[in-house]
Amino acid sequence: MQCTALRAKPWNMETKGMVRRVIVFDQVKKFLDGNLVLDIADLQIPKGSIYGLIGANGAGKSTMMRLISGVYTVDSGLLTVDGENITDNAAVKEKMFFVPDDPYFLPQTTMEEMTEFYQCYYPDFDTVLYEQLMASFELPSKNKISSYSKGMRRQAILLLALASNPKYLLLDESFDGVDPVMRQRLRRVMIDIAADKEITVVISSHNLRELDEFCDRVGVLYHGGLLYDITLDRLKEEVHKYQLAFSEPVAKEAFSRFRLLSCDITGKFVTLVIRGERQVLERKIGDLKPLAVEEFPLSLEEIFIYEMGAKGYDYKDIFA
Amino acid sequence: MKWGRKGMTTKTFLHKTPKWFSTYTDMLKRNRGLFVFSLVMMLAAPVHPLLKAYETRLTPVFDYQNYYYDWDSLLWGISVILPVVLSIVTPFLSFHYLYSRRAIDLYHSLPIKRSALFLGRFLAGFTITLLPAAAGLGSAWAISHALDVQDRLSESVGQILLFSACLYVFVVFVICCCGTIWEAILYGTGLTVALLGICYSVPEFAARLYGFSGSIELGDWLLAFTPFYYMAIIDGSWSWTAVFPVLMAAGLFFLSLLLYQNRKSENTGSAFSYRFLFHIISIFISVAVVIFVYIWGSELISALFLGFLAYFIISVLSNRGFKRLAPVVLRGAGIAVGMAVFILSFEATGGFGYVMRIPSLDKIESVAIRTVEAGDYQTYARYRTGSGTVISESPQYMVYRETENIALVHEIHQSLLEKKETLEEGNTSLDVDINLEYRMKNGSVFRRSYRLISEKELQNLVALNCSQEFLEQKYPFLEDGFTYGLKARTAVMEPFVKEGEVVAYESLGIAADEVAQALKKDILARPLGFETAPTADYVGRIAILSPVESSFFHMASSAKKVKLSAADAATHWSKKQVILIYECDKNILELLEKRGKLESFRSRVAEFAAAEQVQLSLCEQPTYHMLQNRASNAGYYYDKYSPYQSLYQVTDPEDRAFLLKHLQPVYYSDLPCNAVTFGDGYCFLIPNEYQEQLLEIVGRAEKENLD
Repeated sequence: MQCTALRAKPWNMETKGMVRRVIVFDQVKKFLDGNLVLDIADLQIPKGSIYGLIGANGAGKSTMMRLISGVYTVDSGLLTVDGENITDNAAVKEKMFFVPDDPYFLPQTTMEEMTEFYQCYYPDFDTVLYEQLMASFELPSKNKISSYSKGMRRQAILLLALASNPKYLLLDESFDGVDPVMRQRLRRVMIDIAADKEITVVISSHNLRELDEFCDRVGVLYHGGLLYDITLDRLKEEVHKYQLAFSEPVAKEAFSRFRLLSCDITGKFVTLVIRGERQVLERKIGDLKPLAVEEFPLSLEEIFIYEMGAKGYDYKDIFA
Repeated sequence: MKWGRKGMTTKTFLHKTPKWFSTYTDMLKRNRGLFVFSLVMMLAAPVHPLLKAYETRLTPVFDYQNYYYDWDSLLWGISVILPVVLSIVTPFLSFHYLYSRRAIDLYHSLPIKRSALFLGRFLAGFTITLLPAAAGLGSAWAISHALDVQDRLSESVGQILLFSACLYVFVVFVICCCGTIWEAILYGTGLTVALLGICYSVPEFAARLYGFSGSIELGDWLLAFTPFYYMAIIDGSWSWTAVFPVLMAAGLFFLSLLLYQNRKSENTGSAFSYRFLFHIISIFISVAVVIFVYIWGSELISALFLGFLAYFIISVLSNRGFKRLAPVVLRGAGIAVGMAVFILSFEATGGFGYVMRIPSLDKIESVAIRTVEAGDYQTYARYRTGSGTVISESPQYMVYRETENIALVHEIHQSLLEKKETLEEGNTSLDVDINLEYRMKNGSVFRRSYRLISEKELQNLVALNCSQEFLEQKYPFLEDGFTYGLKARTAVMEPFVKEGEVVAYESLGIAADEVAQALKKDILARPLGFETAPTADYVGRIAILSPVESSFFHMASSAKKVKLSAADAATHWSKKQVILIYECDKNILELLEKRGKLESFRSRVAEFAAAEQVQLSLCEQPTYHMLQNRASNAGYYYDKYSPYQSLYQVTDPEDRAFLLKHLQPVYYSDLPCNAVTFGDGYCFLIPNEYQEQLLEIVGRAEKENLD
């Protein structure tokens, strides 16, 4: 399978042992309809972190969320939260709230009724926080949720999730459909509350700029395998974009010493996206004697695109 | 801004409530509309009949019959249908989320164990189904008792509630097996039809075996392993087998719990929650189709094809299209071939040796035998009383323990097996059901039933009827110490009517035990063989009747009116007797004379003799008069042709005197005899030796135009 080949994760162990890990994947495999859709050999999500899950469509992000939340069960391996197996474990789930990409509300219910519903299951449900959030986001608590817009429904489930006082919050593309202003407010509130209550947040999104803003750490999924599990800072330190100018046109082979993610040559001008430590890279580039060298900062989105491109997930390949 | 509570968090009051109970109350709360509606409907069901009763009772003539039917049908309609509908609908309300990927994300991520979630929602649905039904049926029962009105509902409350409960569990089980609501409905219906099809077809299939006994019992047993059993006994009857559906439901509950606990959420939207269930259900339905189609009138090849087709359709639906067609076709063909091999080998080997098996003589402890006119299935053979007493077939069986009698029965059995081919073809045989029940020395029971017998078996049966054992069983009062008690009544019966239709026309008014004592002396004084070929003139019939003479359907309620327990009523009912009296029975005739009843007793026969004319019809062919059984004392005869083909007016007093002299109300012989029926249906037999004279009488009589 492809995912087995993608297990090389050069940076995912760098902080092991320094931070308390709370969500641990150990040789976890999940099959759907007989196909291996998730294969994570080793992943440890630290306590209190905001962990971003990124990946192309069908990479396994939602499956991973459902595994952590206990909706799905692992087919092999072990998935633990706080050292306990999540499978049918109500005590662990009591500390967890899963917000799926398309949240479900009980038919014909209002926010008040949904609150009562969640109170049955989450003993730490914080009614004060709920009232504060409802007042802040101005959601009509007595109206049927079915009459809410898509964005309002997203806000509603996020408010319920935060009010349930979880220690682990699983957000699967949960901000989609929320307008930019409200999105910003929701993010801030969520970050505030998460920081205040030491909530570990696992969030998946295709909006990488958004993740870039508040994630401590990201996991990049590709075809069910984990490409990277790394802090954002470290990721940015490890991937660099340089523009070089030479006196004469150069061939691609000249850059074979580099761990290239992208190499774009236009005559005497070369744009490189390379993995590696800055000092080492700059030394190697100096050996090529370019006329000029300039480094450009990379956003998470760019890194993701280059990484996916390197794996063959590129618009050029799609239309090839 | 500071968010939420500060300091130590205060848990909600719900924290102390077990989560299954929270789930339970939450679901009840959310479905309170349906709950209240059902409750109101069920409680309202008896209101209209109650008003009707009140209105009817105010009228000068109380129309009990119409009142009864109004009451009964209304109650029946609402009080039965609603619980059944609820037991199908509420499981879907309880477990609807299993069919929605979005909903299952919510429910299965909740901090509650799967088992607790299942239990809470199962019990909530159970409550919504059964509580209104119990309340409504309870009130209907109370009202019907307060009004002293008999109705089916009062006797069937338990069955209706149990049926609803079992059906509810069955539907939950089906829901747990399937991945979509469409599949749940489809396979739920399919399984129901297949189960019922199996229950009705397998006994029929087994009954094709020569000598197979116990189709009804087999059907009952099979049905007892389905949730539909209580509908079959909804007439208020109970038996110990009623515990099986409850056990089955309990088993299905735990199986559903197991399936639910291990159900993979991702299988939502698939046809089945587990692949192995597809194999079990699809094969079961296909096999049921083959058996059902084959039994109910089709060629084996058509049945196999339809079984294959059923499997193919289920597979295509389950696979969501024509994927994996080759294995589907192969498996379908495999089922068809398997069924063909089974059916053909079953039939070729006579049920794998069942047909030709016969117990060896030295191992038989006793044997019971019953003969019944074919097609005249015993109306009370399987009836049960309201209290659960089972009136088994035993009163109708003659039990033989003497070695020579056992040997006679064994010989009959052997002869039936030897003539299997002839009898199966139905040639030259008597259309009589003969049931055999061997009690073996090791305690086991061996049963067989045959439909046709020949003259050879009849000779042995006649010989059995001449035995002392037969006589003792035919007349219960011959048993030492047997008493009828004060509740039994005595009556003079119509003397000539066919025995199965005999009716009382006058109460005798003499204590049953006194009559029994006189009869005992007379019967013991009769020569051996008198029962099969009486040698004295016939006088008439006397009956010792059960105090419970209403329809057997309502034995329990009838028994209550005469202050008898249902069990005692059943005993009385089985000991009732119609005794033929002959001129040689001096003791009973003396008793009747002493009590001033003799003249009246003889009057019916005298009326016949003195009548100006007698309408007579004669069967064109001699008939076989057959054996009798203990319970009804009824004789059965076999008519090759209808005895009512021609009607004649016998006007000659000498002819009437001849008829009176030679008629036999009961005559057992292996030789044909003449069935003569009088105008009002009075029927008797004249031995074949008088056939010529009989034909002369008919020749002299005037033929009536039946049109």
